Amino acid sequence: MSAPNSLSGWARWNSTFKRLLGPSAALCAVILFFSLVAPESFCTVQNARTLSAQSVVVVLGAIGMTFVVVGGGIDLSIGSVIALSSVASALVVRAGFSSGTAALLGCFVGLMVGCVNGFLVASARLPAFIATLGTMGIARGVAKWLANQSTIYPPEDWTSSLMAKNPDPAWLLLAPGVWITIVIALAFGFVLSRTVFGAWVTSIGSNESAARLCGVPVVRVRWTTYALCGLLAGVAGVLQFHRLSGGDPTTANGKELEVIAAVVIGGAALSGGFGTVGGSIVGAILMAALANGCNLVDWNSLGRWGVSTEMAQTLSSWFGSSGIPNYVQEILVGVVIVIAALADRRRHR
Amino acid sequence: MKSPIFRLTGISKTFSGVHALRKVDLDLAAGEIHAILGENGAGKSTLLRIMAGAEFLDAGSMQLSGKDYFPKSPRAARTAGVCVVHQEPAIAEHQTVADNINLGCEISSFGIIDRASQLRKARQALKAIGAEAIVDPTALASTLTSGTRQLVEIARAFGTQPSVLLLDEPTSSLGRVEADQLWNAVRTMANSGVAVALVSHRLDEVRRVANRATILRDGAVVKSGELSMLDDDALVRAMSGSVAKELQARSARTHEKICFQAGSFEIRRGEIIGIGGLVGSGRSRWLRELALKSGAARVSEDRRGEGFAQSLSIAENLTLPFLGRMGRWGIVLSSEQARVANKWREALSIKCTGPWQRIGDLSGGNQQKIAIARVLEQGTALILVDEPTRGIDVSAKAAIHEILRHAADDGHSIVVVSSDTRELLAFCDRIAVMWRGSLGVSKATNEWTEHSIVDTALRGAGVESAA
Repeated sequence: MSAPNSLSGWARWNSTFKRLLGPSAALCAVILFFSLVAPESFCTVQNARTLSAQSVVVVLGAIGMTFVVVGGGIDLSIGSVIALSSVASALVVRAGFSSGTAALLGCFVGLMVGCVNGFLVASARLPAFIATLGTMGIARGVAKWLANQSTIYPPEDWTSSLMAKNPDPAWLLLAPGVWITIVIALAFGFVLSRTVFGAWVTSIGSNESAARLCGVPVVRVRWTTYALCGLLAGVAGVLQFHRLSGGDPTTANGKELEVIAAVVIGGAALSGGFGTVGGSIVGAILMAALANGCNLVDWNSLGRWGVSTEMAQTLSSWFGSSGIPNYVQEILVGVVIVIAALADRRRHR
Repeated sequence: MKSPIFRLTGISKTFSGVHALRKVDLDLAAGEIHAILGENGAGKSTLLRIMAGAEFLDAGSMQLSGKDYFPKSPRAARTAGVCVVHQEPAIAEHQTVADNINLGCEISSFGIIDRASQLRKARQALKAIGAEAIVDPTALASTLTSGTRQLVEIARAFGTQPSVLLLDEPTSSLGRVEADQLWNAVRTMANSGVAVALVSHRLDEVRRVANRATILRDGAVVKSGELSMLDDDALVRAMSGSVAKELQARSARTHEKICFQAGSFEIRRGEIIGIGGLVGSGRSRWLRELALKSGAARVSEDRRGEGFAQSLSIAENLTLPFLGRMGRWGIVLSSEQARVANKWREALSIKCTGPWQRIGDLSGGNQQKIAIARVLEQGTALILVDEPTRGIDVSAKAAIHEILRHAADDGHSIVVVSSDTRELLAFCDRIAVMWRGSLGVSKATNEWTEHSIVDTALRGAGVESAA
């Protein structure tokens, strides 16, 4: 045999690596930038905990969304499912059940909405955009109905354990919810890149009729991607409940767009057939880091890098004395999305 | 003859009341290549789809290796040992060749893909069909040419060790060299005991590779037997139900006025120039550039992609390039669109229910007529046509030739790119052959033979001197 068998693995790894390079470089640049302009607050253990806690919801959503997008679909219901799941968990806790039961039920609710999406898109062949737009409204409405339009608070003696900023035991360093997310990320990254199911999802997104003709059970596989996406949104909802210590039916409004943005920034093709879990996570963290860092910017600290006091004052007068306002963050995230899409287009030319 | 391993008895199928197949019987023996012939709409594809489990039969039965065979899905058919190679290669572009070859029957343990074994199997399959030097199993499928994509499909079929291989117009988009590679691979499979059924429009190709033929007309078998016992005339007669009109070579005529000239290429008024050559020799690109330089209207070879908006109606598609003419002040009058569509429907005898029928519902031949009607309506003196009769049945082919000949008689100058050598010889005034991106000198048709055209296309004799 002329070429070593590992060549395929190398070629695959190499091409994936190249596509991850852009988003990773962008993330490094963002981290470096904020380390320079907010040295005291950005680059600290405490902030790493905050940042990781802030990003888990979008990261979990992005992992599920990666499967859906690689399979050539889209899921707009994620934000509503997160809200529904967190409300459901809160209600269960308030009714006196254990946190574990509440968490299981939250995940189950997400799985159920995912299964409905899977049925509508895969079996009933509705366009994914329309079907999940529908379930987005339904899930949000049901969440508000269950919660009677207000946040459900658990009993006073209940303490959130999953998203505690100072975890117990202390050697965990990060909140248990963050560790759960990391384990899920590794597992699902493996599933997408190394398993038959992952290859089938990719083939459906790349060329659905080819997959069908080759005997790939298209309906079942597509169904599963939506169910997985719903399940992970359910997990995200449980963590959101723990983070906020309350089940808010209006939470995570518009989160689905943030999640889609993360997936796109991570290099996935919205037309299907390509995407990596790692890329999507990098995309999600990139956006979380942008939001987090912008709030921590301290213009006066720029003096240490040789920026004149007047310059720092000018910046402060433009953007406020500390932190970069929301509208600038929104512009920045928008710019990042457009750049990611442009980079993708160039690669395909 | 060996006993059949695949036997179809009395297969019938109707689509919304229209008989697509009526009591079709077909036997396939191990190791034979069996051609299924017929005009468009004769039921060949439906028959193939039923065999492949993509369509259910209404009546009749199928037996595979002596056992009843009733596939519920393409997957079930594949498991039972019936594989299909499609006209449009079923390839997932984002995955590697090895992944594509193993698609649907991955080698795995506990759901985890064993890529090393998959690669080994892909190499073996490619080697077995003699394509190991042509296709790199580690390459991304998006980097493959359409010819090598078909080879990947054959390798995929081979990997599942099928007992029956079904081929649906596998060479319609391939050049001669690529087609030969494909046929070598298919012969290898047949020699190893696979029964091959082949649907094709190319009689010469069928003659070269197939042993037996079954001819369908209007969903029923009209003739079946050893190919050596059937001459071309008998085949065409059985397919069309009438004596096919022999293609008439255009009589030599005097063309006085030069219509267009670019470099060494020139075309006169009322002249038809044919461009031969292999697929991939740069003919289509040359034609596209000529269209830009001369402002001439062009009929694309890719009716689906470049030609029509498939979901729009005949009238809308036909008038798309000159919507401005269909009314005043930017308002498009549908009555005017319908008038133009009806005019051409009459003139070219286009079979349709009316000007507002979806163009995607029409047969390839009728779509091509509309494509030509569109450039004629545009009214440019020079018309460029790429592969005018690819994938079109015999009688529609003759009709298209007739239309182009009339257009030339009316004073249009026409450039035709075609892979069908006989077509070039039959209705062009002059022929030039493209070889590796450069166009040879055009010569009068009677100075060419089928052999010399193919020879020039393959080896470029006389082309370099012109370029």
